[in-house]
Amino acid sequence: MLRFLTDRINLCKFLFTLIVVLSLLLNFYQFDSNPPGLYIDEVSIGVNAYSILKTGKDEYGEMYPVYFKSLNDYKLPVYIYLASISMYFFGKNDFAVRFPSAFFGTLAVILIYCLINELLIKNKFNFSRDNKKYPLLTSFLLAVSPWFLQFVGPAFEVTVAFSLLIISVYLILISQRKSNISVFVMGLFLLVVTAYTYHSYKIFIPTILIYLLIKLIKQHKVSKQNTVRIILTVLFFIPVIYSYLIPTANIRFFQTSAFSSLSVNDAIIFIKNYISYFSTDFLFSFGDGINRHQFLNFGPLARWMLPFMLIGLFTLFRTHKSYLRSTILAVLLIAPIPASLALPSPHTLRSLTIVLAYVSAIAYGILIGLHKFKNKNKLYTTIISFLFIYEFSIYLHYGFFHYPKVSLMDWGGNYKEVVEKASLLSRQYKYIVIDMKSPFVLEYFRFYNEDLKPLVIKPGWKKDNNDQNDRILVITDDKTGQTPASEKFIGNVYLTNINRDIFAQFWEL
Amino acid sequence: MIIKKIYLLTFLALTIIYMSRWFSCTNFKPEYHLSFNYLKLASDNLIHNDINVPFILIRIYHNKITLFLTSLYTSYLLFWDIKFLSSLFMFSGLLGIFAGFLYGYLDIIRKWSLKLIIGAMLLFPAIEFILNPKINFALKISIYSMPYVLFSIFGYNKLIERYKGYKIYIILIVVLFISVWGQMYLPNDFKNFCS
Repeated sequence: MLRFLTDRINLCKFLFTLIVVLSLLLNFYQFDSNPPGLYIDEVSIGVNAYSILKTGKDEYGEMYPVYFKSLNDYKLPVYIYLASISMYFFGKNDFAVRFPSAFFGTLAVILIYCLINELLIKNKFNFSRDNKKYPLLTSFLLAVSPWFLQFVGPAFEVTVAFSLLIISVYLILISQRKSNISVFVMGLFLLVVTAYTYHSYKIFIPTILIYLLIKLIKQHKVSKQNTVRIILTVLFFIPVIYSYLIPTANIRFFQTSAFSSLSVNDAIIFIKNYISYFSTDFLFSFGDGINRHQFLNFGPLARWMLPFMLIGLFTLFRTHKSYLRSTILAVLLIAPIPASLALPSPHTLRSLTIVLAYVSAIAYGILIGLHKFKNKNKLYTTIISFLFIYEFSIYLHYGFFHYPKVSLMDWGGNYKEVVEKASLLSRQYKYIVIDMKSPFVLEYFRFYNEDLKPLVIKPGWKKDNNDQNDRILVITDDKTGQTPASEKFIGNVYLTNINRDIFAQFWEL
Repeated sequence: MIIKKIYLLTFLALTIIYMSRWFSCTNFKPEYHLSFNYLKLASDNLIHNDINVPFILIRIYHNKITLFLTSLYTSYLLFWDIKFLSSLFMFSGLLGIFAGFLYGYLDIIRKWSLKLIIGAMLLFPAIEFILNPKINFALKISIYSMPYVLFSIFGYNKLIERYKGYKIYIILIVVLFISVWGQMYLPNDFKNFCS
């Protein structure tokens, strides 16, 4: 055992395995039930994925679409197709919808290790022994970063896109080192897939490619091989560029755009949004204020990370130009651009890529400190470990004890229980009518029990003369009793929060 | 040299002009100050969710010391927040502060005057958070801003020293122009931070 631990390479592998196991635990433990319930976007993904799996059509009957109309937001296709594969294995349930996100989230932790390793090789980085520590530390910090963890459990497309981005950059770097064009093509293909996974990347990737092109030209590195690569890149990205011209592909952009009408003052709005991604207030204290994106009292990054982030960024800004430095700074400065075009801003989901730069900088900062305190290594490591363990344990406490109770309504409430109760009662009634405020309630019925075909009624609805002798089940979220069905009370569905508030009521008409 | 002086004077004049908008406030917003009542309420609010949680864990995670430290950290960071600083000193002031830290850190180590300025920059927010001195807000914000403005000018000096030539002036003029434009477009931005 001692021999094993003293062998540096084995120790490295051992630690990496531990990180992957930790990541698996954090990403998969209770991930289908916490966050509590599927949010409407997740449900819509589930409905479309299942429809694709069974019929090859989306819920509107279109064969294998590239853009899913979904909730009129025209979702990108990759996550939905992945969820349909997941549903093939696990069935139509919450687990299957969220599985791709958790899987790719874990993959990202592994991939960032490989990517940083590759960058260090390119860098001829002289961190001596820390050449092994740096990728490990970055991978670990990503695995435990609240920003990343928040989006790994639920079915967020961005997690898949994030992992695909890392793997494509990794492949492109390898292809450059080994002069292997087929690996380059594979990386390029995955880069295009990334752009079709999450909207932000349709802006992020072309921007970073333009940055790389400018860099190549500036460094006079436009060799014959690079020219071939540039041409291939342009060819691969024709569909992405073409998608800017398709109105349906851009609906989501216009729905969330920060600019109501194009004017010169939009530049100020953009700058204001952009700098908000570097706000300490946003990063370490309050986050973006959307409960689906954070735990109450936690920012996207842990508080203890701040000094190391500052040291890391400061050192990176000052060090000589290198691959590692350019990559981290490029991600840091380019990642907020797509998110700054939209509202609300700052937005942790749309800017997830920036976490790559932040965790790399934090890891860098920690290692710089380790060098500075060479003689007090043990004390330094103990202090960092204590800070990490204390804050992370508080984070987990909030995550498992507080979050499921306080964020119920942000995740859609208890629609699953409503559908289950309606399914149990449905046989006794001719049909079910729904009198609920949510415009998307039917999507939950389609996902949890598509055999039930409830009718959504409007205020003032009355029972049809033909149905006078039939029993009708009315589901309502109006707790005042002023419903068209206030004839016979059947039961409530309660929220699983502390007060056990009523979420929905069942009445017989 | 003359261009540098003109630029720095313009920057200083514009910063003072736009900062004077803050004089209409009476104090920073409540979140910038320590409140024991708030801490107690926050603590009570948090433990409501801890049903079936061992008492020892509740004591470890939701005690007043942790809450106080978290509150101190959060409020202290508010004074260093990029949105707050860019509203008070404009984007151009922010650039100066950034350049000061980036290119002037060796001077900070060597010179006492700079150490004093940095010390004031670090200390003033803590004083405001804990003591909330009851003095005229115009005076308070002027005293509070002084080290930042001085450090910003120092930062510009370092920046101009490092990037010699006319290009840097063009960039700085553009930054100043955007800063003024930002202040004109968002004239009430400061009300997010003071009342």
